[in-house]
Amino acid sequence: MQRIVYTCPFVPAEWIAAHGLQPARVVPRSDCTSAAIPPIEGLCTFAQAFAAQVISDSLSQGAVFTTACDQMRRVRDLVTDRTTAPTFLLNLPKTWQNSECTQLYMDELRRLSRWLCTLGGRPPSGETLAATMIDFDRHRHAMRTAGCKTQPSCPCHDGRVKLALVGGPILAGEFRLFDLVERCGGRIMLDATETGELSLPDTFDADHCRRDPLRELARAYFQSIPAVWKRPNTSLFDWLKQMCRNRNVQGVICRRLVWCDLWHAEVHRLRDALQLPLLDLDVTDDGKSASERTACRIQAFMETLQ
Amino acid sequence: MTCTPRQITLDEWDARYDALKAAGLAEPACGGRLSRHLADGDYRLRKLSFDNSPAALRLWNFLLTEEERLAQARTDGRKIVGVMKDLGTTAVMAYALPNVVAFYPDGAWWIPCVMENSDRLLAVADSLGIDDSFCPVRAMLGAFITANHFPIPDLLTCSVGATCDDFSAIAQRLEALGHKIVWWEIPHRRPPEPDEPYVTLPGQIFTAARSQVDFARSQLRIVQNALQQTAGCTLDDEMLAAAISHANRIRRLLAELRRTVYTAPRCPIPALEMLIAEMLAIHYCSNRDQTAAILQDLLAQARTRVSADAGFADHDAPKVFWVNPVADLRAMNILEQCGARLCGTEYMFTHALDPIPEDVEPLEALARAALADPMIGSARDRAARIAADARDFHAEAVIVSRIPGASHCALEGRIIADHLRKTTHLPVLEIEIPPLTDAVRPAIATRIEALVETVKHRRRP
Repeated sequence: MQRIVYTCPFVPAEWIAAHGLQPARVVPRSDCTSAAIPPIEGLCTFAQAFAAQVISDSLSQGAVFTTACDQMRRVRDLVTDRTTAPTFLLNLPKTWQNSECTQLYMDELRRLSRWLCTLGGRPPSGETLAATMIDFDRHRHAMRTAGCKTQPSCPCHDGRVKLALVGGPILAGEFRLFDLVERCGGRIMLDATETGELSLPDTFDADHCRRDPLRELARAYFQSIPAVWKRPNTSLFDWLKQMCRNRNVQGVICRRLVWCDLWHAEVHRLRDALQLPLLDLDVTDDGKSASERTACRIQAFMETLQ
Repeated sequence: MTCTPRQITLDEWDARYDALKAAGLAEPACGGRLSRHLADGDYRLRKLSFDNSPAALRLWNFLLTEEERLAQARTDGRKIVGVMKDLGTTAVMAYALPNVVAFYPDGAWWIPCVMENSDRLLAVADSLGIDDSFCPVRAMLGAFITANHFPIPDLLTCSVGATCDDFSAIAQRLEALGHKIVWWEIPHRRPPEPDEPYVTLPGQIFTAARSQVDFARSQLRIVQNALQQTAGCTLDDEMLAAAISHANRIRRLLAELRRTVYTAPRCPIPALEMLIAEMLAIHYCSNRDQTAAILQDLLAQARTRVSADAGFADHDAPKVFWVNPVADLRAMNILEQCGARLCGTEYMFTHALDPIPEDVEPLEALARAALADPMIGSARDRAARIAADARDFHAEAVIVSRIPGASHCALEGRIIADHLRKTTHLPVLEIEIPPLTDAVRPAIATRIEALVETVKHRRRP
């Protein structure tokens, strides 16, 4: 089966799968490099790693970029300059208040469909799409309810400082952050990063799926996933406040990549809105000394909360 | 009173001003000595070299008194609209209304330079967590907080979508601080699909899918409604058409000025004054009629100098095409001090220079203009336009100046440079220009001098 890689949570996996292709949402490794993409000062390491992965990935037949952030929008230019691998740029509207924006997102999905068909995909019937969506939703439901994180009263959390991890996407290899927090006596109760719960689409409505699956897809993804880049981004703050309350969160780690303006600009607002101790963790993912600095800062933060 | 073209200091301008006045110089209300602006804290003027013409004097006085015009507009009871980010389209709409003055708060990005940080706008932004990892446009946030530089607008609009993250993030902070913003979407301009209806955009380089134009029009309708509500009167097609026609008169003037200056054997207007003149096209510096008069003056001055074979720099000064606006105005002086001359520019708003179509419905025309923004398409698109313009103006080299912290500059500069090297074979230099270049001036000058040497070497048979 043809493999289509992407990393943005606003690319619906169901849409790719319904075309008979394999959706692969990749989390690039921080050490993923390519001679074609030399280090560039000012470039977000996540965007750079994804670009390098697309260029070096011989198993994928195409890659989907999105306009969620300026860096990812532009890094696609760099990739198309340096490889013949098919790429697609999905235009994500930043505003959401009017129906034209949802319509634009749906039109973009249709355009994505035409591109997928050039790679061997088949345009799905409404029934196929609805069935695929319901199947994916079932798996996501299992994931949502797995573990005890959603039940903060579970005894296994006793004595641990309950934290929320907020911020941009995490690179593979950086998930050790969770272990580090555990070693310091904490527990991540809420992974509100762009690679975590924050980016999960809403549950599909079965009736809507049958009646107009594409519109339901747009509702569950475009209209429902909170994002730092939406304008205004009030839904992100509403969601965070509610989730922190539900999970009895005692402190917040805002992990942001250096050069990510979108998260960086919101740190002050997060502190004000959540009314919780907040560690502003800027990470560069550029080596051992950076990880030691990160570890040291997390340890200090945990000590202040214990 | 005629005088040999020369770049002079602020002190020299005082003596020159006295001489001009004695010779009967007539000035508009904003006229006066340039040095009086030091009292407002515009200390950077002491480090700049100015064109010594009366036209340049008028240009500078007009630029440096915009805050007064905005304050007067508030006093007069006119509505003030802050149009953010789109650089050139929504301002045209706002000026269609008789009781509205529009300006780009984005322009605050030059305040730290002009005032040499004395107003501490960057420090205010720092205190809000918007530090120097962001583009200098963060000064805008400080300007809203201190409210010392422009009246707080009655309406704020902001284009988002295919815009830089810095600006979008700062505008979001602004809204969270209580400044309500009417957001409108400008989509990433993509190539039309095969068989998809498309429209050629102003400038004749870019095209956009018909559906994207329709979408942009729907978004401008949001702006139109907000303007109507703020102004308390209707903004109809006839008014918009008249505003477009006025904008085009200014754009044609500017186009003629650019052609005259950039193609003259000797450069008749210096790079710094040309940068200011081009900026006027974006929102007329809060006075449309004055803008037109100033551009006419500059054009007349340029023509006089060209016919007398007078100007700045030598006849053989290497011709440099400049990409991106500079955070420090002084950088444009450095170019000439290194022996080069400006022969063309792309300051991120070519869509504000190209005439807006007048043969289609006004919102359709404005949507096309908005979609011609070089920053909302791919960097390769932008590079293609730069290459075409650089060829038209017979450029011998290109300087891509980076804006520190700007989200687009990290990648775009490299893509543009690669494209230009491949398609035009011109030498390309990338330099970063901070809001105050004093500490890095020698390094910048050395790099530009090396470029000048390269151009001269390439001329050898």
